[in-house]
Amino acid sequence: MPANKTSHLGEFFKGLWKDNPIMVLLLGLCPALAVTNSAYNGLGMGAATTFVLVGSNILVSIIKPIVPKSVRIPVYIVVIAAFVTVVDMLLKAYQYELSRSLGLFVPLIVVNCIILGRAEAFASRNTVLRSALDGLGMALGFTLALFFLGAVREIIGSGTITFFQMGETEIKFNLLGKNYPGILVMILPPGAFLTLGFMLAARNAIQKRLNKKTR
Amino acid sequence: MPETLKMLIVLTFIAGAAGLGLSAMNDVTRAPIIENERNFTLRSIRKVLPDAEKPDPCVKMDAVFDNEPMNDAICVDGHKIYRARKNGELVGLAIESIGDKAYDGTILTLVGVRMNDGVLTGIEVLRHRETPGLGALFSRCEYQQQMVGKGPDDIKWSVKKDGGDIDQLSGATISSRCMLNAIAKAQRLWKERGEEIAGAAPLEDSQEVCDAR
Repeated sequence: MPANKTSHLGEFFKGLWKDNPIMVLLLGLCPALAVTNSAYNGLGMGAATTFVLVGSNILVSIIKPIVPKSVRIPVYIVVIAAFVTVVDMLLKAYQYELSRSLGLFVPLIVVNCIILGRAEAFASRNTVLRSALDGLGMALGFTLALFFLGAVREIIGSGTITFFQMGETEIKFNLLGKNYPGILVMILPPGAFLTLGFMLAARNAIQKRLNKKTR
Repeated sequence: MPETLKMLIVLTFIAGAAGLGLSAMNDVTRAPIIENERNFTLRSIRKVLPDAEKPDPCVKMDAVFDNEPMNDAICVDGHKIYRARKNGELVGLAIESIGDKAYDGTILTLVGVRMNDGVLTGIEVLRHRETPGLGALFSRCEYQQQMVGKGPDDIKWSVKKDGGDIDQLSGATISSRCMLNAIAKAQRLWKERGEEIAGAAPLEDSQEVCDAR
């Protein structure tokens, strides 16, 4: 076991800002850019990923003593794929509309590099508690980034923001009025790249200012 | 224990445990998933068969039927057709129809047709891959208002670019044409296969997929 310098709390919080998967590590961009045309889609994708990431991190760190080094990657993939399939079935059963709008991107969580990355780089060498906290922090950082990306794109693109949607019930706010024509490009893929670019720039600018202060 | 044997055992054990867990999960979620898919189809059927002389896609209306069209489905020419009845009499058809040559692949629609005069009572796009904000606007009720409520001979069912009466979506003529293609197929079924549709015995398994999908 390597010497642990960070506190447990540190393992949790690093995913939110310092090592945010989307804004710093730039991992898992495929689902992040593809599904975030509304805030609720971003939240839903984030929640699904959270379940998988926390589950696989915990399980990988539990089984690490019995897994031979040479087959560890196949073992991780089986674990991750099982969690993803569970999430896919749960969504189809209890959040049918969300599952329809996320579509193929739920099964594709299997190949999201954050998840295998955390299993290989963190969970396979740390305690169960640390791995769980790491997974939770990373996943929340991912969810926050996706929610923000989705919210910005939805507000500028269609003038609304959706927090929840299921059948007839929805929590949706019309922020820019009924006659807002919408800016199409923000809903389409280029809008995702633009928004992400601005988000990265803003994060770096804030980080720079913080660095100056501490120096 | 040799390394190879250990690898074999661990991998087999993990895969077996995952399979076991998933099959248990499947048992739990199978019923709600089937229920959801049924409800989704039923909601679409209710939408395309409203109870109105002049149906309007932008106004929510009660459905025209009092039977269970899900249990009264048939396959004709590869189209799945749900039959809607009121007091036992056939009043409308919800026809699953594929529009060919969409901007991206094909689109799957559910077309509502009134039995006695062939009036289009509604159209719902169930599956498409058109561009959001351009082709995908064909799902909007404001766009569908120009077609819904019209009979097969009331207007010319093609886009204005092709000499018809339907406004094409600007920037998405292909998607508009594709939707009309799906409607035309449904109208043709109503016109030419009406008796067969009325007489056919319902499918035993309402989840059955007719081959046109």
